[in-house]
Amino acid sequence: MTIAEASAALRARQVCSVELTEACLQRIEQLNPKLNAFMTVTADLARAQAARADGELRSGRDRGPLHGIPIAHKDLLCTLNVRTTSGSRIFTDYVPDFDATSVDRLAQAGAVMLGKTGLHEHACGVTSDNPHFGSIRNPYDPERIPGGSSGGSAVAVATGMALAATGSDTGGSIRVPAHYCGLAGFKPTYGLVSKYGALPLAFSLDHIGPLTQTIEDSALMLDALAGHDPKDPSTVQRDAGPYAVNTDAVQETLRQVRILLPRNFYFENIDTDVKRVILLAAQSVETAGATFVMGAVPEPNQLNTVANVTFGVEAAAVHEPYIRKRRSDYGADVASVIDIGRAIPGAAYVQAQRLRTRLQQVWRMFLDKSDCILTPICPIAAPHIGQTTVGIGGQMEDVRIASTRLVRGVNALGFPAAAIHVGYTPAGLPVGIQLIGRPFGDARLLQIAHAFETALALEKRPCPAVV
Amino acid sequence: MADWTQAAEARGIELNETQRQRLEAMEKSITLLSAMIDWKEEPCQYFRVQEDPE
Repeated sequence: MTIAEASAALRARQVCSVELTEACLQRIEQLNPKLNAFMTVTADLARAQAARADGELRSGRDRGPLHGIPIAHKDLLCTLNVRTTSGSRIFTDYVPDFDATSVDRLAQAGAVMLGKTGLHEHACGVTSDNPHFGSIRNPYDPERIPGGSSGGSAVAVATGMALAATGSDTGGSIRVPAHYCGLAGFKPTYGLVSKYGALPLAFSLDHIGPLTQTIEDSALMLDALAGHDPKDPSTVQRDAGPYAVNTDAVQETLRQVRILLPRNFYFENIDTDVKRVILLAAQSVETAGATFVMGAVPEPNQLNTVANVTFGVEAAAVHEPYIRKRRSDYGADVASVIDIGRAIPGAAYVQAQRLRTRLQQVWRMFLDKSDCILTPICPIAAPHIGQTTVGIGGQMEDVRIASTRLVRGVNALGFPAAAIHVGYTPAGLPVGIQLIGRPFGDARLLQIAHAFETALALEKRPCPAVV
Repeated sequence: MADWTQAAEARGIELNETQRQRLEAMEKSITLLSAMIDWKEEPCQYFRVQEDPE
Protein backbone atom coordinates (compact mmCIF):
# COMPACT_ATOMS: atom_id res chain seq x y z
CA MET A 1 0.00 0.00 0.00
CA THR A 2 1.28 3.47 -0.87
CA ILE A 3 1.07 6.56 1.32
CA ALA A 4 -1.44 8.10 -1.11
CA GLU A 5 -3.67 4.99 -0.94
CA ALA A 6 -3.41 4.69 2.84
CA SER A 7 -4.10 8.38 3.26
CA ALA A 8 -7.26 8.14 1.14
CA ALA A 9 -8.38 5.02 3.02
CA LEU A 10 -7.84 6.75 6.38
CA ARG A 11 -10.00 9.68 5.36
CA ALA A 12 -12.69 7.39 3.96
CA ARG A 13 -12.71 5.63 7.38
CA GLN A 14 -11.93 2.33 5.63
CA VAL A 15 -8.93 1.83 7.88
CA CYS A 16 -7.44 3.53 10.92
CA SER A 17 -3.83 4.32 11.77
CA VAL A 18 -3.78 1.70 14.54
CA GLU A 19 -4.71 -0.98 11.98
CA LEU A 20 -2.09 0.21 9.49
CA THR A 21 0.51 0.28 12.24
CA GLU A 22 -0.41 -3.19 13.55
CA ALA A 23 -0.17 -4.59 10.01
CA CYS A 24 3.35 -3.16 9.67
CA LEU A 25 4.38 -4.45 13.12
CA GLN A 26 3.12 -7.92 12.23
CA ARG A 27 5.07 -7.87 8.99
CA ILE A 28 8.19 -6.74 10.85
CA GLU A 29 7.77 -9.65 13.25
CA GLN A 30 7.33 -12.05 10.35
CA LEU A 31 10.10 -10.79 8.02
CA ASN A 32 12.71 -8.98 10.07
CA PRO A 33 14.39 -12.12 11.44
CA LYS A 34 15.05 -13.12 7.82
CA LEU A 35 15.87 -9.75 6.23
CA ASN A 36 17.34 -7.71 9.13
CA ALA A 37 15.88 -4.38 7.99
CA PHE A 38 15.18 -2.95 11.45
CA MET A 39 17.76 -2.26 14.16
CA THR A 40 15.18 -1.13 16.69
CA VAL A 41 11.41 -1.55 16.67
CA THR A 42 9.51 1.02 18.74
CA ALA A 43 6.23 -0.91 18.81
CA ASP A 44 4.74 0.70 21.95
CA LEU A 45 5.60 4.20 20.78
CA ALA A 46 4.14 3.45 17.34
CA ARG A 47 0.90 2.16 18.83
CA ALA A 48 0.59 5.25 21.04
CA GLN A 49 1.30 7.61 18.13
CA ALA A 50 -1.17 5.75 15.90
CA ALA A 51 -3.90 5.94 18.55
CA ARG A 52 -3.26 9.67 18.90
CA ALA A 53 -3.37 10.13 15.12
CA ASP A 54 -6.72 8.33 14.98
CA GLY A 55 -8.06 10.46 17.83
CA GLU A 56 -7.01 13.65 16.09
CA LEU A 57 -8.63 12.61 12.82
CA ARG A 58 -11.84 11.71 14.65
CA SER A 59 -11.87 15.11 16.31
CA GLY A 60 -11.34 16.89 12.98
CA ARG A 61 -7.64 17.66 13.27
CA ASP A 62 -6.02 16.59 10.00
CA ARG A 63 -2.27 17.16 9.70
CA GLY A 64 -2.17 16.24 6.00
CA PRO A 65 -1.33 13.24 3.83
CA LEU A 66 1.20 11.73 6.28
CA HIS A 67 -1.23 11.82 9.20
CA GLY A 68 -1.34 8.33 10.72
CA ILE A 69 1.10 6.83 8.19
CA PRO A 70 3.57 4.32 9.70
CA ILE A 71 7.13 5.01 8.61
CA ALA A 72 10.69 4.08 9.60
CA HIS A 73 13.81 6.17 10.12
CA LYS A 74 17.34 5.35 9.06
CA ASP A 75 19.36 4.71 12.20
CA LEU A 76 21.60 7.71 11.72
CA LEU A 77 18.81 10.20 12.38
CA CYS A 78 18.75 11.12 16.03
CA THR A 79 15.58 10.12 17.83
CA LEU A 80 14.63 11.28 21.30
CA ASN A 81 15.26 8.50 23.84
CA VAL A 82 15.66 5.92 21.06
CA ARG A 83 19.11 4.47 20.39
CA THR A 84 20.81 5.83 17.26
CA THR A 85 23.80 3.77 16.16
CA SER A 86 24.71 4.85 12.63
CA GLY A 87 25.19 1.11 12.15
CA SER A 88 28.42 1.34 14.11
CA ARG A 89 30.07 0.04 17.23
CA ILE A 90 31.22 3.60 17.98
CA PHE A 91 27.61 4.72 18.58
CA THR A 92 26.17 1.39 19.76
CA ASP A 93 24.94 2.87 23.04
CA TYR A 94 24.15 6.41 21.90
CA VAL A 95 20.68 7.50 22.98
CA PRO A 96 20.01 11.08 21.82
CA ASP A 97 18.05 13.54 23.91
CA PHE A 98 16.54 15.20 20.85
CA ASP A 99 14.95 14.46 17.49
CA ALA A 100 16.66 15.24 14.19
CA THR A 101 14.80 17.99 12.35
CA SER A 102 13.65 15.53 9.66
CA VAL A 103 12.26 13.17 12.33
CA ASP A 104 10.55 16.08 14.06
CA ARG A 105 9.04 17.42 10.82
CA LEU A 106 7.61 14.05 9.87
CA ALA A 107 6.19 13.65 13.38
CA GLN A 108 4.63 17.11 13.14
CA ALA A 109 3.07 15.99 9.85
CA GLY A 110 1.44 13.13 11.77
CA ALA A 111 3.64 10.21 10.69
CA VAL A 112 3.93 7.26 13.08
CA MET A 113 7.46 6.03 13.86
CA LEU A 114 7.79 2.23 13.71
CA GLY A 115 11.48 2.14 14.51
CA LYS A 116 14.99 2.54 13.18
CA THR A 117 16.38 0.81 10.12
CA GLY A 118 19.83 -0.69 9.62
CA LEU A 119 22.48 0.66 7.33
CA HIS A 120 26.01 0.19 6.09
CA GLU A 121 28.34 1.03 8.97
CA HIS A 122 28.47 4.85 9.37
CA ALA A 123 26.57 5.08 6.02
CA CYS A 124 30.01 4.65 4.47
CA GLY A 125 29.33 2.01 1.82
CA VAL A 126 26.75 0.48 -0.48
CA THR A 127 26.43 -3.17 0.57
CA SER A 128 24.68 -2.84 3.97
CA ASP A 129 26.72 -5.92 4.90
CA ASN A 130 27.26 -4.72 8.44
CA PRO A 131 30.05 -6.34 10.51
CA HIS A 132 28.43 -5.34 13.81
CA PHE A 133 24.72 -5.91 13.20
CA GLY A 134 24.70 -8.49 10.39
CA SER A 135 23.87 -8.40 6.70
CA ILE A 136 20.69 -6.70 5.55
CA ARG A 137 19.14 -8.89 2.84
CA ASN A 138 17.47 -8.09 -0.46
CA PRO A 139 13.81 -9.17 -0.44
CA TYR A 140 14.02 -10.21 -4.11
CA ASP A 141 16.80 -12.64 -3.25
CA PRO A 142 17.99 -12.83 0.37
CA GLU A 143 21.43 -13.95 -0.78
CA ARG A 144 21.93 -10.57 -2.44
CA ILE A 145 22.59 -7.10 -1.03
CA PRO A 146 19.80 -4.52 -0.84
CA GLY A 147 22.25 -1.73 -1.66
CA GLY A 148 23.15 0.99 0.75
CA SER A 149 23.82 2.72 2.74
CA SER A 150 20.07 3.07 3.41
CA GLY A 151 19.61 -0.69 2.96
CA GLY A 152 17.30 -1.28 5.92
CA SER A 153 15.00 1.56 4.91
CA ALA A 154 14.72 0.17 1.37
CA VAL A 155 13.97 -3.37 2.55
CA ALA A 156 11.38 -2.10 5.04
CA VAL A 157 9.48 -0.21 2.33
CA ALA A 158 9.86 -2.89 -0.37
CA THR A 159 8.29 -5.51 1.91
CA GLY A 160 5.55 -3.39 3.47
CA MET A 161 7.20 -3.41 6.89
CA ALA A 162 6.80 0.38 6.60
CA LEU A 163 4.88 2.53 4.13
CA ALA A 164 7.86 4.85 3.69
CA ALA A 165 11.25 5.49 5.24
CA THR A 166 13.87 8.15 5.55
CA GLY A 167 17.29 7.71 3.99
CA SER A 168 20.46 9.68 3.57
CA ASP A 169 22.50 10.02 0.39
CA THR A 170 26.17 11.06 0.36
CA GLY A 171 27.18 9.22 -2.81
CA GLY A 172 24.05 7.36 -3.87
CA SER A 173 22.79 5.93 -0.56
CA ILE A 174 19.11 6.56 -1.36
CA ARG A 175 19.22 5.90 -5.11
CA VAL A 176 21.33 2.73 -5.03
CA PRO A 177 19.05 0.80 -2.61
CA ALA A 178 16.02 2.13 -4.51
CA HIS A 179 17.49 0.53 -7.65
CA TYR A 180 18.41 -2.78 -5.99
CA CYS A 181 15.06 -3.09 -4.17
CA GLY A 182 12.63 -1.76 -6.81
CA LEU A 183 11.60 1.51 -5.14
CA ALA A 184 11.26 5.22 -5.70
CA GLY A 185 13.60 7.55 -3.89
CA PHE A 186 14.54 11.18 -3.96
CA LYS A 187 17.75 13.05 -3.25
CA PRO A 188 16.66 16.68 -2.95
CA THR A 189 18.71 19.72 -3.90
CA TYR A 190 21.40 20.30 -1.26
CA GLY A 191 20.08 22.78 1.28
CA LEU A 192 16.40 21.93 0.88
CA VAL A 193 16.16 19.42 3.75
CA SER A 194 17.81 19.94 7.12
CA LYS A 195 20.63 17.63 8.16
CA TYR A 196 20.41 18.72 11.79
CA GLY A 197 20.55 15.61 13.96
CA ALA A 198 21.76 13.34 11.17
CA LEU A 199 25.05 11.73 12.20
CA PRO A 200 27.31 13.06 9.45
CA LEU A 201 29.45 11.27 6.90
CA ALA A 202 30.57 14.13 4.64
CA PHE A 203 29.13 17.55 5.57
CA SER A 204 28.77 19.05 2.11
CA LEU A 205 27.64 15.87 0.33
CA ASP A 206 25.10 14.48 2.84
CA HIS A 207 21.44 14.78 1.82
CA ILE A 208 18.34 13.53 3.66
CA GLY A 209 15.45 12.21 1.58
CA PRO A 210 12.68 9.61 1.27
CA LEU A 211 12.47 6.01 0.09
CA THR A 212 8.94 5.10 -0.98
CA GLN A 213 6.86 2.82 -3.20
CA THR A 214 6.11 5.63 -5.67
CA ILE A 215 7.35 9.05 -6.68
CA GLU A 216 3.98 10.46 -5.63
CA ASP A 217 4.79 9.28 -2.10
CA SER A 218 8.33 10.71 -2.23
CA ALA A 219 6.81 14.08 -3.08
CA LEU A 220 4.43 13.85 -0.12
CA MET A 221 7.36 13.07 2.17
CA LEU A 222 9.41 15.96 0.75
CA ASP A 223 6.56 18.38 1.42
CA ALA A 224 6.95 17.59 5.11
CA LEU A 225 10.76 17.42 5.11
CA ALA A 226 11.75 20.50 3.13
CA GLY A 227 12.25 23.96 4.54
CA HIS A 228 14.75 26.26 6.16
CA ASP A 229 16.07 25.17 9.53
CA PRO A 230 17.91 27.71 11.69
CA LYS A 231 19.76 24.76 13.28
CA ASP A 232 21.31 23.81 9.92
CA PRO A 233 23.08 26.74 8.24
CA SER A 234 23.33 24.81 4.97
CA THR A 235 19.56 24.99 4.49
CA VAL A 236 18.30 27.70 2.15
CA GLN A 237 15.67 30.31 2.89
CA ARG A 238 13.82 29.87 -0.40
CA ASP A 239 10.68 27.79 -0.54
CA ALA A 240 10.72 25.81 -3.77
CA GLY A 241 7.58 23.82 -2.93
CA PRO A 242 4.90 22.62 -2.77
CA TYR A 243 6.24 19.28 -3.95
CA ALA A 244 3.11 17.11 -4.05
CA VAL A 245 2.62 15.98 -7.66
CA ASN A 246 -0.41 16.84 -9.73
CA THR A 247 -1.82 13.43 -10.66
CA ASP A 248 -4.17 15.05 -13.20
CA ALA A 249 -1.33 16.64 -15.18
CA VAL A 250 0.47 13.50 -16.37
CA GLN A 251 -0.36 13.90 -20.08
CA GLU A 252 0.39 17.61 -20.03
CA THR A 253 3.75 16.96 -18.31
CA LEU A 254 4.67 14.27 -20.85
CA ARG A 255 3.78 16.55 -23.77
CA GLN A 256 6.00 19.33 -22.43
CA VAL A 257 8.98 17.39 -21.12
CA ARG A 258 12.33 17.09 -22.83
CA ILE A 259 14.50 14.32 -21.38
CA LEU A 260 18.16 14.01 -22.30
CA LEU A 261 19.66 10.56 -22.81
CA PRO A 262 23.43 10.79 -22.46
CA ARG A 263 25.43 9.56 -25.43
CA ASN A 264 28.62 9.29 -23.35
CA PHE A 265 29.62 7.67 -20.04
CA TYR A 266 26.34 6.61 -18.45
CA PHE A 267 25.37 3.84 -20.85
CA GLU A 268 28.93 2.65 -21.40
CA ASN A 269 30.14 -0.35 -19.39
CA ILE A 270 26.76 -1.39 -18.08
CA ASP A 271 25.21 -4.83 -17.93
CA THR A 272 23.22 -5.58 -21.10
CA ASP A 273 20.10 -6.72 -19.21
CA VAL A 274 20.05 -3.54 -17.12
CA LYS A 275 20.54 -1.41 -20.22
CA ARG A 276 17.75 -3.21 -22.09
CA VAL A 277 15.24 -2.67 -19.26
CA ILE A 278 16.08 1.05 -19.09
CA LEU A 279 15.91 1.67 -22.82
CA LEU A 280 12.60 -0.22 -23.08
CA ALA A 281 11.20 1.98 -20.30
CA ALA A 282 12.37 5.12 -22.09
CA GLN A 283 10.78 3.88 -25.28
CA SER A 284 7.43 3.32 -23.52
CA VAL A 285 7.49 6.82 -22.08
CA GLU A 286 8.43 8.29 -25.48
CA THR A 287 5.44 6.46 -26.99
CA ALA A 288 3.29 8.00 -24.26
CA GLY A 289 4.28 11.47 -25.46
CA ALA A 290 7.60 12.50 -23.89
CA THR A 291 10.40 13.93 -26.02
CA PHE A 292 13.83 12.34 -25.72
CA VAL A 293 16.97 13.91 -27.07
CA MET A 294 20.44 12.39 -27.27
CA GLY A 295 23.41 14.44 -26.16
CA ALA A 296 26.89 14.30 -24.67
CA VAL A 297 26.98 15.33 -21.01
CA PRO A 298 29.96 17.17 -19.46
CA GLU A 299 32.53 14.56 -18.42
CA PRO A 300 31.11 12.85 -15.29
CA ASN A 301 34.53 11.47 -14.29
CA GLN A 302 35.54 15.02 -13.41
CA LEU A 303 32.60 15.19 -11.04
CA ASN A 304 33.45 11.80 -9.56
CA THR A 305 36.99 12.95 -8.79
CA VAL A 306 35.72 16.08 -7.07
CA ALA A 307 33.16 14.01 -5.16
CA ASN A 308 35.78 11.44 -4.11
CA VAL A 309 38.26 14.03 -2.82
CA THR A 310 35.52 15.94 -0.99
CA PHE A 311 34.05 12.76 0.45
CA GLY A 312 37.40 11.34 1.59
CA VAL A 313 38.54 14.46 3.40
CA GLU A 314 35.19 15.28 5.02
CA ALA A 315 34.67 11.67 6.18
CA ALA A 316 38.22 11.64 7.59
CA ALA A 317 37.47 14.88 9.46
CA VAL A 318 34.31 13.36 10.97
CA HIS A 319 36.05 10.15 12.03
CA GLU A 320 39.51 11.46 12.98
CA PRO A 321 38.78 11.49 16.73
CA TYR A 322 37.48 7.91 16.69
CA ILE A 323 39.64 6.14 14.09
CA ARG A 324 42.84 6.92 15.97
CA LYS A 325 41.65 5.65 19.35
CA ARG A 326 39.13 2.96 18.43
CA ARG A 327 40.35 1.53 15.14
CA SER A 328 39.32 -2.02 16.05
CA ASP A 329 35.71 -0.81 16.36
CA TYR A 330 35.57 -0.11 12.62
CA GLY A 331 34.87 -2.62 9.87
CA ALA A 332 37.80 -3.13 7.51
CA ASP A 333 36.12 -1.55 4.47
CA VAL A 334 35.07 1.61 6.30
CA ALA A 335 38.49 2.04 7.97
CA SER A 336 40.10 1.69 4.55
CA VAL A 337 37.91 4.44 3.03
CA ILE A 338 38.64 6.76 5.96
CA ASP A 339 42.39 6.11 5.67
CA ILE A 340 42.30 7.16 2.02
CA GLY A 341 40.62 10.40 3.10
CA ARG A 342 43.23 10.98 5.81
CA ALA A 343 45.93 10.74 3.17
CA ILE A 344 44.51 13.40 0.84
CA PRO A 345 46.38 16.73 1.17
CA GLY A 346 44.48 19.80 2.33
CA ALA A 347 45.37 21.73 -0.82
CA ALA A 348 43.65 19.08 -2.95
CA TYR A 349 40.44 19.56 -0.96
CA VAL A 350 40.49 23.31 -1.57
CA GLN A 351 41.11 22.78 -5.29
CA ALA A 352 38.25 20.28 -5.38
CA GLN A 353 35.91 22.93 -3.94
CA ARG A 354 37.04 25.42 -6.59
CA LEU A 355 36.45 22.82 -9.29
CA ARG A 356 33.09 22.00 -7.80
CA THR A 357 31.93 25.59 -8.28
CA ARG A 358 33.17 25.54 -11.85
CA LEU A 359 31.53 22.19 -12.66
CA GLN A 360 28.29 23.34 -11.12
CA GLN A 361 28.22 26.24 -13.60
CA VAL A 362 28.98 23.88 -16.50
CA TRP A 363 26.21 21.41 -15.55
CA ARG A 364 23.71 24.15 -14.79
CA MET A 365 24.21 25.59 -18.27
CA PHE A 366 24.00 22.12 -19.75
CA LEU A 367 20.65 21.50 -18.04
CA ASP A 368 19.21 24.59 -19.76
CA LYS A 369 18.94 22.42 -22.88
CA SER A 370 16.56 19.89 -21.33
CA ASP A 371 14.35 19.40 -18.28
CA CYS A 372 16.35 16.51 -16.90
CA ILE A 373 18.94 13.85 -17.69
CA LEU A 374 18.02 10.16 -17.62
CA THR A 375 20.76 7.77 -16.51
CA PRO A 376 21.03 4.31 -15.01
CA ILE A 377 21.57 4.27 -11.23
CA CYS A 378 23.86 1.25 -11.14
CA PRO A 379 25.39 -0.62 -14.07
CA ILE A 380 24.33 -3.95 -12.54
CA ALA A 381 21.43 -5.56 -10.67
CA ALA A 382 21.89 -6.51 -7.00
CA PRO A 383 25.12 -8.49 -6.45
CA HIS A 384 25.49 -11.30 -3.94
CA ILE A 385 26.35 -10.67 -0.30
CA GLY A 386 30.12 -10.89 0.08
CA GLN A 387 30.75 -10.43 -3.65
CA THR A 388 33.61 -7.96 -4.04
CA THR A 389 33.99 -7.78 -7.83
CA VAL A 390 31.62 -7.98 -10.75
CA GLY A 391 32.20 -8.61 -14.45
CA ILE A 392 30.74 -5.95 -16.73
CA GLY A 393 31.37 -6.16 -20.46
CA GLY A 394 34.19 -8.63 -19.90
CA GLN A 395 35.99 -6.44 -17.34
CA MET A 396 36.11 -7.00 -13.59
CA GLU A 397 35.16 -4.06 -11.39
CA ASP A 398 34.95 -3.48 -7.63
CA VAL A 399 31.28 -3.83 -6.59
CA ARG A 400 31.41 -0.69 -4.41
CA ILE A 401 32.85 1.47 -7.16
CA ALA A 402 30.53 0.01 -9.81
CA SER A 403 27.48 0.65 -7.61
CA THR A 404 28.25 4.35 -7.15
CA ARG A 405 30.07 5.57 -10.25
CA LEU A 406 26.86 6.70 -11.98
CA VAL A 407 25.40 8.51 -8.98
CA ARG A 408 28.09 9.94 -6.68
CA GLY A 409 28.95 12.91 -8.92
CA VAL A 410 25.46 14.38 -8.48
CA ASN A 411 26.17 14.80 -4.76
CA ALA A 412 29.12 17.06 -5.60
CA LEU A 413 26.76 19.18 -7.71
CA GLY A 414 24.02 19.17 -5.09
CA PHE A 415 21.39 18.92 -7.83
CA PRO A 416 18.17 16.94 -7.24
CA ALA A 417 17.92 13.36 -8.46
CA ALA A 418 14.95 11.00 -8.51
CA ALA A 419 15.15 7.21 -8.52
CA ILE A 420 12.33 5.38 -10.31
CA HIS A 421 11.75 1.63 -10.52
CA VAL A 422 11.37 0.75 -14.21
CA GLY A 423 11.50 -3.04 -14.54
CA TYR A 424 13.20 -6.34 -13.86
CA THR A 425 16.10 -8.29 -15.32
CA PRO A 426 15.33 -11.77 -16.72
CA ALA A 427 16.50 -13.08 -13.32
CA GLY A 428 13.70 -11.08 -11.66
CA LEU A 429 15.92 -8.44 -10.05
CA PRO A 430 14.71 -4.83 -9.98
CA VAL A 431 16.16 -2.08 -12.16
CA GLY A 432 15.83 1.66 -11.63
CA ILE A 433 16.70 4.88 -13.38
CA GLN A 434 17.95 8.21 -12.18
CA LEU A 435 16.51 11.54 -13.38
CA ILE A 436 18.84 14.47 -12.63
CA GLY A 437 17.13 17.86 -12.51
CA ARG A 438 17.97 21.53 -12.22
CA PRO A 439 18.97 22.93 -8.81
CA PHE A 440 15.86 23.82 -6.80
CA GLY A 441 13.76 22.41 -9.61
CA ASP A 442 12.72 19.60 -7.24
CA ALA A 443 8.98 20.14 -7.67
CA ARG A 444 9.26 20.03 -11.46
CA LEU A 445 11.57 17.00 -11.34
CA LEU A 446 9.12 15.12 -9.11
CA GLN A 447 6.28 15.96 -11.48
CA ILE A 448 8.30 14.63 -14.44
CA ALA A 449 9.31 11.51 -12.50
CA HIS A 450 5.67 10.91 -11.54
CA ALA A 451 4.59 11.28 -15.18
CA PHE A 452 7.35 8.86 -16.22
CA GLU A 453 6.29 6.33 -13.58
CA THR A 454 2.61 6.66 -14.49
CA ALA A 455 3.22 6.37 -18.25
CA LEU A 456 5.30 3.27 -17.67
CA ALA A 457 2.46 1.67 -15.65
CA LEU A 458 4.80 -1.05 -14.42
CA GLU A 459 3.13 -3.95 -12.73
CA LYS A 460 5.08 -4.46 -9.52
CA ARG A 461 5.95 -8.03 -8.70
CA PRO A 462 5.64 -9.02 -5.06
CA CYS A 463 8.99 -9.58 -3.37
CA PRO A 464 9.63 -13.33 -3.14
CA ALA A 465 10.58 -12.83 0.52
CA VAL A 466 7.03 -11.63 1.26
CA VAL A 467 5.09 -14.25 -0.70
CA MET B 1 51.70 19.08 -4.89
CA ALA B 2 53.71 16.49 -2.94
CA ASP B 3 53.32 12.80 -3.78
CA TRP B 4 50.16 11.86 -1.86
CA THR B 5 51.11 8.31 -0.97
CA GLN B 6 54.59 9.26 0.21
CA ALA B 7 53.17 12.10 2.27
CA ALA B 8 50.59 9.75 3.82
CA GLU B 9 53.17 7.15 4.72
CA ALA B 10 55.40 9.84 6.24
CA ARG B 11 52.45 10.68 8.50
CA GLY B 12 52.15 7.07 9.60
CA ILE B 13 49.07 6.17 7.53
CA GLU B 14 49.67 2.64 6.29
CA LEU B 15 48.26 2.07 2.81
CA ASN B 16 47.75 -1.20 0.99
CA GLU B 17 48.18 -1.56 -2.76
CA THR B 18 44.51 -0.87 -3.59
CA GLN B 19 44.43 2.28 -1.45
CA ARG B 20 47.70 3.42 -3.01
CA GLN B 21 46.29 2.93 -6.51
CA ARG B 22 43.11 4.86 -5.68
CA LEU B 23 45.08 7.74 -4.21
CA GLU B 24 47.41 7.85 -7.21
CA ALA B 25 44.43 7.90 -9.59
CA MET B 26 42.80 10.73 -7.61
CA GLU B 27 46.05 12.70 -7.49
CA LYS B 28 46.55 12.37 -11.24
CA SER B 29 42.96 13.32 -11.95
CA ILE B 30 42.84 16.38 -9.67
CA THR B 31 46.16 17.59 -11.09
CA LEU B 32 44.76 17.41 -14.63
CA LEU B 33 41.54 19.13 -13.56
CA SER B 34 43.51 22.01 -12.03
CA ALA B 35 43.66 23.44 -15.53
CA MET B 36 39.96 24.27 -15.17
CA ILE B 37 40.45 26.40 -12.07
CA ASP B 38 40.11 30.13 -12.32
CA TRP B 39 43.01 31.12 -10.08
CA LYS B 40 41.59 34.60 -9.57
CA GLU B 41 38.60 33.01 -7.89
CA GLU B 42 38.44 33.16 -4.11
CA PRO B 43 38.33 29.57 -2.84
CA CYS B 44 37.08 30.41 0.65
CA GLN B 45 33.48 30.72 -0.42
CA TYR B 46 32.23 28.85 2.63
CA PHE B 47 33.63 31.24 5.18
CA ARG B 48 31.66 34.33 6.08
CA VAL B 49 31.83 36.43 9.18
CA GLN B 50 28.38 36.22 10.68
CA GLU B 51 26.74 39.55 11.31
CA ASP B 52 25.16 40.13 14.68
CA PRO B 53 21.38 39.99 14.45
CA GLU B 54 19.96 43.49 14.86
